[in-house]
Amino acid sequence: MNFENLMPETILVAEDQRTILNLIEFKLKNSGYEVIVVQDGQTALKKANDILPDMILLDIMMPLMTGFEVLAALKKGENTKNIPVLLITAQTREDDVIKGLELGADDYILKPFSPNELVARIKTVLLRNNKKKS
Amino acid sequence: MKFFLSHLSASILTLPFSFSPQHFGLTIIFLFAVAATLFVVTMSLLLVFRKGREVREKKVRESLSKHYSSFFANILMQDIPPQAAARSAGERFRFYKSSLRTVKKGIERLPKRTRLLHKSVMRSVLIDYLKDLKGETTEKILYYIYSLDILDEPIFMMDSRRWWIRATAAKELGLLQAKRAIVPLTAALEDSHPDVQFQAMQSLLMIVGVSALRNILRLSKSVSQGTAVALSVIILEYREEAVPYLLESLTSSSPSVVLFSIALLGQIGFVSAVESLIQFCLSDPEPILYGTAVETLGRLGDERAYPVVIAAIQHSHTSIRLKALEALGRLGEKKGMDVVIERMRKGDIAEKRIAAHALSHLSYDGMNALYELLNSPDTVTRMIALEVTEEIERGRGLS
Amino acid sequence: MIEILIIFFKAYLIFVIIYFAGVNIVYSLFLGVSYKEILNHMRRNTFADDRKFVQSEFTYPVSMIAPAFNEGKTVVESVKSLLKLNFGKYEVLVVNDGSKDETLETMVHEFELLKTNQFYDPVLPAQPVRGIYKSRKPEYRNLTIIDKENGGKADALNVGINCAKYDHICCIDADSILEDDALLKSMRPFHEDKTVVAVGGIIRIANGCKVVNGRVVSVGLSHNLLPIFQVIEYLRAFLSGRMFWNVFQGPLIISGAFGIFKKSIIMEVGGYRSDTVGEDMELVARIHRIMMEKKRSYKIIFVPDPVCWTEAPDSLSVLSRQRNRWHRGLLDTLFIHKKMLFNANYGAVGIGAMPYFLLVELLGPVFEAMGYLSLMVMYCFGVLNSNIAILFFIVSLFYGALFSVGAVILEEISFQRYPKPSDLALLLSLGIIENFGYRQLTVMWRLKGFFDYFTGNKNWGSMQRKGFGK
Repeated sequence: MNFENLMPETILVAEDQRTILNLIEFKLKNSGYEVIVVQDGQTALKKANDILPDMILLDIMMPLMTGFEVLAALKKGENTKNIPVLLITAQTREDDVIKGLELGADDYILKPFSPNELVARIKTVLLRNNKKKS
Repeated sequence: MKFFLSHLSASILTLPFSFSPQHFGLTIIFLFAVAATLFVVTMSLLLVFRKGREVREKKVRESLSKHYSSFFANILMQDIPPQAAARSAGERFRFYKSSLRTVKKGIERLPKRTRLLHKSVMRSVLIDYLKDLKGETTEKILYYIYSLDILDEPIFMMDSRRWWIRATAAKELGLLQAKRAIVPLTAALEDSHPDVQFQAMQSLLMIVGVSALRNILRLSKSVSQGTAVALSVIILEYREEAVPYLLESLTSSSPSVVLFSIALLGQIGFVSAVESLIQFCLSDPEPILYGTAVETLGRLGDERAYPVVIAAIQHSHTSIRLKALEALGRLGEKKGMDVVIERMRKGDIAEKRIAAHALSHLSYDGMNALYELLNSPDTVTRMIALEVTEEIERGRGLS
Repeated sequence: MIEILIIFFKAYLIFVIIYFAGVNIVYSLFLGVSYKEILNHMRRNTFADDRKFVQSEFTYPVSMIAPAFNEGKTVVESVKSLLKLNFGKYEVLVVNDGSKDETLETMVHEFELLKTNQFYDPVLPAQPVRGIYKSRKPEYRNLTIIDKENGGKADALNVGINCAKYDHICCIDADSILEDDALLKSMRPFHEDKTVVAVGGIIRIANGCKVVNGRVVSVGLSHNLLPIFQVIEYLRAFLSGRMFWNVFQGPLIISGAFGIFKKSIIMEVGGYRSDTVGEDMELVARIHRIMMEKKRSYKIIFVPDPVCWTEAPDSLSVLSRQRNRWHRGLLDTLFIHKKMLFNANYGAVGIGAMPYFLLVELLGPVFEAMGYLSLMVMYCFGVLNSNIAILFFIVSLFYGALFSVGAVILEEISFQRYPKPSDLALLLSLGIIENFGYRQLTVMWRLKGFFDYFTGNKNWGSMQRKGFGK
């Protein structure tokens, strides 16, 4: 029996707008995930290295370090390069999505977002990643 | 130093009494000076005081905002129990209502002023969440808005005597998708202050959709250029859906509304407007409207417009001729070339310029005609032809 | 004999005290009304959507005219920053007023200019045009350079107006450092009210501010005292002075550093005059006059938003020459349009603005200087009533300090451009100190302006260019 699979998965959420952060935090908690929240890029990178979450939700427009910069740094780090990343971006900035995917992000979600869709995408990405691991 | 100060203060204090009767006026002035100084000092203190109070209020708002932000995020993101979801809307609403019970009880007990503050904060939080979310949660938020009675205050504020309060209320009601507010918002379309009028327009479009244009164009007594600027950007997003309403408004009694609609039809660019515009031109409207209609026909690029445009090139009003020449250039074929060449010869400098540019767009024949005008006997015509041909060649060089 | 003199000076002192009391009442009125107007304007700003203004095709396009004379060192940087304003459709016309340095050559080289055959129609008479240039590069397609024989700023502006494509003209100085949304903020009044014919905005002092690529990036105060005094003066003049007149037909002056006019109006009144030193003020006064004479409904608006930064003189010699010139310009304008003075046919301009500029701005230094003289004479003869002296200083200097402080406070509650509390403190304290030395200097310089005007001295003087960001 693999006890690791019984523990709730940890998701790190990096988003500077408090309203969106609240929504995502509560939705994920209600869906059974453990959630760590940060509000800027620098702290996001630090936390990612400290706790090695199962997944990272990354906003692009953040103070101190942008989502792109954090993503690039994550992909360089030995421990962090395999953590799946989901980008959060505004609907009007589709080029950001392409850039993010090229930098190594696994998927993206647009603002305004549908909470069920968010959870669905997270589940899909995690499933894909678990398959990869085993 | 001490001696000087005491002497100074003694003088100042005895000043009013030391003037002889002829200096009565000076006494008045001195007292005036004292009063004014006291006034300024009081005002400054009041200002500082008010700023302090504002800062405190802001802090209270912020902490309330954090609290309600979490609270609403939590209940919004709770899944409906599967039994309720499978059934009707009524079941869903019962569930939503139960999530609100605690907060409703909480605010009922508060004194009126605090309750209004809480409702105002809830309103801002819910407006933000409406912006951030889409899909199934929107229904929840709209229910909360209805159930918590937070629309009352903005609707009440629409009657305020101060324009900025009316404008803020109009704006919020749009963001809150308040169907209940459609009537007061429609009334606000006739508001005397342009900002209130515009916020009402914007909010109605947000709540009702493009069909709100019917009332907007019908009830607005006039559309200032500033309102036209902002409104045009919004309407352009509806593209061809807006066209029928704009065409409807061509019969409006307000010239500024008609002008706005005609110009906007040109920017939207759908040829469904062509027939109506041609009819409009044939009804011999005012020069400014006529000119704009011709301009729009040019932009729409439909060849049915040729008779009207060519006729307009020979109109007695200069401004109409100028617009017509430009329109012919946009239509692009060599029809009407001779009239353009005639205007090139007879018109003033501005007209020659536009005529020359129009010629350049009328395919090879037009360009050739323009080149021929380089040899025109009239100096000014020659020089304008030179200017325009060179500009075109330079333009080709750039692209 | 001496007794008559003494009685005269005594009476004069009483007069001047009453005069200053009157002036203070007027200033208080200005400050109060300005405060209300600025508050209203700030409220309207919260509902203004700048992005829509830039995007919409309904926004009126602008022709921006910058006359340049011997600006070789800074002209390229200025022009590049002018082309990057946050606004929709607009063109930039640089008029080279027969510069003796490399101004034209620098621009031809940097912007890859070609001489064109653009037809020039001298509607407003001016010095001959030697060439009209446009750029080969697409990013400079909205730029036009006009080379002409020297004729002065007014002449250069007229040429620019002749060449302008659009219906609204923005006249600036070549070294004006504009705010990104200068055009945005100042074009709004034209869209709100069709009767608006001209708009002016606030000019701020750039000394001590960090300027990058032609934009003020951070606001600060100069290390030199002189520019700081001018900051206070400008705040007082603009924030409390100009706003007041919005309630009527508008201010009597729009600064030459930044102003927007309807092209049709400039053409109608005949363009700028070259024979006066205060051509910016004279044009506006003439617009008022002709509009009133033709009984047309019109308005000139002043927007309290900061639109333009300018380099202020930081040496006494240059500053004195500038103030001298301003005073001569004021005198000239009032003289040219003296028909409007106290004339009810000219509405608020005739019985309000003109008399104000005459009695307070123009003759103010004269009255004040005479006041000091009277005090001195009385003191010398030992008949100085110390109470009257104190009263004099209260109504002149003390109130002067009060109004300076008031203007600084007004700036703080409205635009809050000076972020550092130390800067604010410095401004407040210098607002008081200004009245003990600096103010008297300006009185002297303006008196000399009077003198120079009547002895026929009409030159411009030159101002050294220090370049941006220094």
